[in-house]
Amino acid sequence: MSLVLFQLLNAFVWSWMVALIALGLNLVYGVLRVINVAHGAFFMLGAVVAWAFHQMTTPLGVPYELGFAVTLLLAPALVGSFAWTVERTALRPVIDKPILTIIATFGLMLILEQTVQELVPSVQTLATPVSGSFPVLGLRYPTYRLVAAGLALATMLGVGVALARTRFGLWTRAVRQNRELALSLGVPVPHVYGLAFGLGSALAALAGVLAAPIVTVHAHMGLDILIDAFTVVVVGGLGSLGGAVLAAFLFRMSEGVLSIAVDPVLARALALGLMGLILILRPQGLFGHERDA
Amino acid sequence: MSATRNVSIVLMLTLLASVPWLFDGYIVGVTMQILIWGLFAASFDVLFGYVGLLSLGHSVYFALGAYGAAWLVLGTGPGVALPLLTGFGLGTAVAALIGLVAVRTGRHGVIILTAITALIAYLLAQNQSDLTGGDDGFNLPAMPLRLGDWSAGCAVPGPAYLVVLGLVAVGVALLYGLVRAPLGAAWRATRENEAQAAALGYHTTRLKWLAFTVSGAGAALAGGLHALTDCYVSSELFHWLVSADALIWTLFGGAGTLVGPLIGTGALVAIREVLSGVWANGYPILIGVVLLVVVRYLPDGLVGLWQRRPK
Repeated sequence: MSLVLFQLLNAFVWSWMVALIALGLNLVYGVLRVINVAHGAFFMLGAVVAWAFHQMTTPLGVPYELGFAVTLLLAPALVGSFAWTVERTALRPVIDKPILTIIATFGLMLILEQTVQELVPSVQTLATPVSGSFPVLGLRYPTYRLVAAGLALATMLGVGVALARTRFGLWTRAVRQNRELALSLGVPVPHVYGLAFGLGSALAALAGVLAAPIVTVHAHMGLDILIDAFTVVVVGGLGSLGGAVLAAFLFRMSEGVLSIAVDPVLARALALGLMGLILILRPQGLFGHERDA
Repeated sequence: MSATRNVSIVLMLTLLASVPWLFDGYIVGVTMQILIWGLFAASFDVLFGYVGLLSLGHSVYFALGAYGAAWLVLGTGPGVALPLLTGFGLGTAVAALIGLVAVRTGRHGVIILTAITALIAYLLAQNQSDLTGGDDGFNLPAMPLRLGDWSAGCAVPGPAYLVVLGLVAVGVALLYGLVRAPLGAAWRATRENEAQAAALGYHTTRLKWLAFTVSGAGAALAGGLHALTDCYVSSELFHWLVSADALIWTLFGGAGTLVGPLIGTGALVAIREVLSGVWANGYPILIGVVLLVVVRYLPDGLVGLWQRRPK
């Protein structure tokens, strides 16, 4: 019974991580109409920055918890500015050709993953910055995981509020609805593109830092999570932020619940099957628009 | 124009057929790999280039073609025609079934749905290691082929090369016949504007399903050839990254041309072979750079260098 509860809690925590990654992917798609295949690589870069920072600062006597808190800001900032540059140089010229942007970001993913593979030897682990465990229904659950889920949730709420209240948020909604009209009304569309791509990628990097102490850090850690994030974004409805969160929970929690009854591999296969079934029944996704089908 | 093309096709086939007499076993083996993966990429291109549907699930039909052949060989002993037919039938049937639902989702839906089929198939293949051998896979005997004292082996293809060349040529010719036929025009109409094609009376869902099935069938044939010549199958074949390879080769050569994917596969497999001796890990980085360059400067692929393809 406690094992079951443990798995469900894991599924719950991981749902928020996937939702945070999906939020970035969705923001990029909603504004730029670019399916960013390199999103998983940005997630990986976030985790690698956290690991590398730890390697560099530990000999200097920086407390681990402090270093980790710094990377929570540093990794998204670094990855976000890198992504901003990538958008201007590699994506901007082909931004109107959806297939070409998929290929360009795929190429970027290969370069990033293989470069990290060359630089970071094998599989690395990172200690949890928040030690201790938390009593949940007679079970002790690692506190850090709940903290990570909380931070993911807080970030999503923060981004949601920012997009609803700030001028940048207004611009993103204008571009999302009608790019030409937005341009003619004076919205700096190219600027919005760069910022949205940078912000979306920064969110992936933040998720990478949060996930680093939970999973192992290696060059290809973004590959599986990329598929998860894509699936929930498309199933939730491209461009719909709430849909992605709902789909993330449907996906992860169904996998968690199923793994109580059946073998974990079969549980994952069935959860994927459920996602496929939703797509068959609603090609535009749960909260998507017909034009994005 | 047509005469020039026919002459060049005959020349190319003659050249390819004489490879075993001109080069050593290693080159013959690499050329054979290029032919097999080239057929895979060309089949992928039928769906991607002509109908505009991006499938990440083609690894499944390739792997089923390979496993269908492997299971028959493991069950009833070495063979050529029957194992290939079994793999081809299995892969085509599954492609036809999955196609029934996959083509009903949208442009993005089909990517995710086919990716999901590849993920599920890969998970199950890894899990059911009694059936698939899992990550370790199965070793297979070579094709029982002999021409005088020239026999087929696993390390050196021998006469198996000619079988592969013949079947790949027939396969590509059939695909070419389909895309040049009125069916091909209907496929392109569906790609360019599905609503208009439907308004003209085309049953676009059926057209897309047909392309999906034909495309999967080509992949299954390539898979069967791969299993019998490589003498090895493993669950890795199901992975969606295998489908992504077909996408890369197709784009590099030129999507929607059939010949482009063959050229793209040839160029990139050759580069990979050359790099494997020098800096094997560099291949993905090089591919990444190649993709960025292709996207920026060669959106029509290598073929686009000397030919503006009809849009």
